[in-house]
Amino acid sequence: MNKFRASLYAEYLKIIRSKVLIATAAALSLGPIMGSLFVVVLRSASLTESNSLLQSKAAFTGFSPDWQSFLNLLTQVIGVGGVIVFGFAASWVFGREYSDRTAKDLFVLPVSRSLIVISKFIAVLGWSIFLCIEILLLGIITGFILHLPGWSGRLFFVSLYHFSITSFLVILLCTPVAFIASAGKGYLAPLGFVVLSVVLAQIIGALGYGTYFPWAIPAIYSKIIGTQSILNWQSYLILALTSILGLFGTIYWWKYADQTN
Amino acid sequence: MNKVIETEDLTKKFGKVTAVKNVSLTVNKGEIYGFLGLNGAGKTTTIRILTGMIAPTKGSAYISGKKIKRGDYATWKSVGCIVEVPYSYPDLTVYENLDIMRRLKGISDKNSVKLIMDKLKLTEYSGRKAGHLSLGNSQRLGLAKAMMHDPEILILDEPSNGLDPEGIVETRELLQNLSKNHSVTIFISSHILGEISKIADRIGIIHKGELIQEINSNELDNLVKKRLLIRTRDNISACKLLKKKGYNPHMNKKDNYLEMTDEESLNSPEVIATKLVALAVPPQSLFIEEEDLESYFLRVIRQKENNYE
Repeated sequence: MNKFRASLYAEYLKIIRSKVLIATAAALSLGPIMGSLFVVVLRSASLTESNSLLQSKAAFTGFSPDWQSFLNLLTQVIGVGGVIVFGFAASWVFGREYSDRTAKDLFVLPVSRSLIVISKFIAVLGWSIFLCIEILLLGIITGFILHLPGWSGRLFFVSLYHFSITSFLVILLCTPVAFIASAGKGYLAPLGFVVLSVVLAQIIGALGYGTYFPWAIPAIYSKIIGTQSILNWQSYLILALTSILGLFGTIYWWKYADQTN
Repeated sequence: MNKVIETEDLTKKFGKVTAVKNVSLTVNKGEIYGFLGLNGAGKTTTIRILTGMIAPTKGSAYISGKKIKRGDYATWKSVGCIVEVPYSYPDLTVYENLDIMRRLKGISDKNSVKLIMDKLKLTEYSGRKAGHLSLGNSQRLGLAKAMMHDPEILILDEPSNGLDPEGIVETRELLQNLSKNHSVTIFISSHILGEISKIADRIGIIHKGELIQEINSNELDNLVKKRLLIRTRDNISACKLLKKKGYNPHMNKKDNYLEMTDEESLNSPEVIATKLVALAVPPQSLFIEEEDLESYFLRVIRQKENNYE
C-alpha cells in the first residue's frame, strides 16, 4: 500500500510540476470561451451581421443563447475535444518516461510494474476529471455572467449526468493511447494516433458507422449529431473492449516487453 | 566464494544482429568486476539483461542465486543500477527526484535524501531542477538514486561519464570503500581500461558480444607488453655488438631506439648498460617502456578480430 501511495505521489508530482497541465486546461477552456462568443454574437444584431461565419457555425450546431444549448455545448466539447486533450494527457504520462529516458529507472524499482502502470492510469483519470471540473465550472461561471436564460436545477442535473457519462466514455479511450505511448516509446506516436482517431471518427461517422467506432461513440453520446439514440449496446461493448484491451496491453507491455530505450 | 552475479551462456539477438553471444561470467561478493568493451560491444545489452529489462534469447542471468526475469521486482530491493546515461525528471528538483525515489524504494527515513545528497556533493543543488543540471551533476544524481537505499549490489553502466577528474576520483573512492568496507558487489562497465584497472578486482573484456578475456587486475601488469629502449651515439654499432654477445635487439628506426623484448634484458637492464659501456657504446638513455592499458585493450581486441578473419 505504501508503494502504491508512493507511486501515486510520484505521478502527482510529475503532473503538478509540468507545464502540460496548464496547456491542457487552457486548450479545453476554449470550449466555454467559444460558447460565450456564440452567445454574444447571436445576441448582438450588429455583431451577427459582421460575423456571418460565426453565426452560420452557431446555427449549424443548433446553438441558441440559453442554458440548455450552453450546457450541451460543454458536453460536446468533452465528447470531441476531450478525446484529443485527455489523449494528450495519457500520451504525456506514459510517453514522457520514454522521451525523457526515465522509464529505465522505473523498471529497476522494488515496485511491481503493474502497480506503476495502474498509478499512471489513475493519474490520467485524475487529470481528466480535473479538466472536466475545470471546464464545467468555467462554463457555469461564464453562463451566469452572460445571464443566460432557462436555468433550472433539473436541467443542470440532467446536463451534468450527460456531461459525466460523456467524460467517462472519453476517459476510457485513454488506455489504447497509453499502450501506443509505451510501445511507441515516446509521445509522438500516441499524439499522431489521437489526431488520426479524431479524423477517422469524422469520416466513419459521416459514412454512418460511427456507432461502431470507439472514438466516435462519446461524441455521438454527447448529442453532437442531435441524438444519442443511435447508440446501441454493441457500441458500449466495443468501447469497453477497446479500453480493456488498452489497459491490459499496456500492463503486458510494461511487464513483459523488452525495454531497450 | 559467494557468487552474487552470474550469467550462463547469455545470448541476445535483435533480429539478425547478435548483441551478446554466450557470455558466462560470475561476480563474487564484495568484488568489483570491470566490464570493458568498445561502444556497441554488448555491455549495455548485458546490463539490461542483468537488470531484467530485456530477456535473453538464450542462457540465464542470476542475482544472489535468483534467476532474473522481466517483471520481477523483489530483487531490486538490494540492487542499485545505472543503465546508460542516467536521466531524471527535468521539471522536478534534485531533492524531489531523490524523494520520489526514496518513497518508491520504500525507505522510511526521510533523512536518507539529505545524506545521499551530502555524500555525492549535491546539497547545494538541492532546489535546482534536474533539467538545469550540468552533465556531471546529472551523473551524480543518477549515482545518488542508485545508491540511496544502501544496496548490496551495484550495477553501473559507465558511471564516470561526464564527471570531471575530481568527480571521477571521488566516485572511484566511494565505490572502493563500498566494496572493501561494506562488501558491496559492484559490476561496472566502461570503455576506458585505465579507469577500470584502477578500481576493478577482475576485468572482463567484451567484444562484438563475446567475452574474449577475463583477467585479475593484479595480472594485468604481467600481460601488458614491455620493451627495453636504448639510445646510444651509434645505435647500428651497438646493435651489432649486442647481437655478437648473443642478444636479439631490434632497430626502431622511427624513434631512433634499440628495442629489446627478451625476458633476460627486461629483468636486468643494468647488465645491458654495463655491457654497452664495456663495448664502448655507452647508453645515452635506457629505460623500460610498458604498453599502456588502452594499447593492451586494443591489442586484445585486434587479436580477436584476426582470429575471426
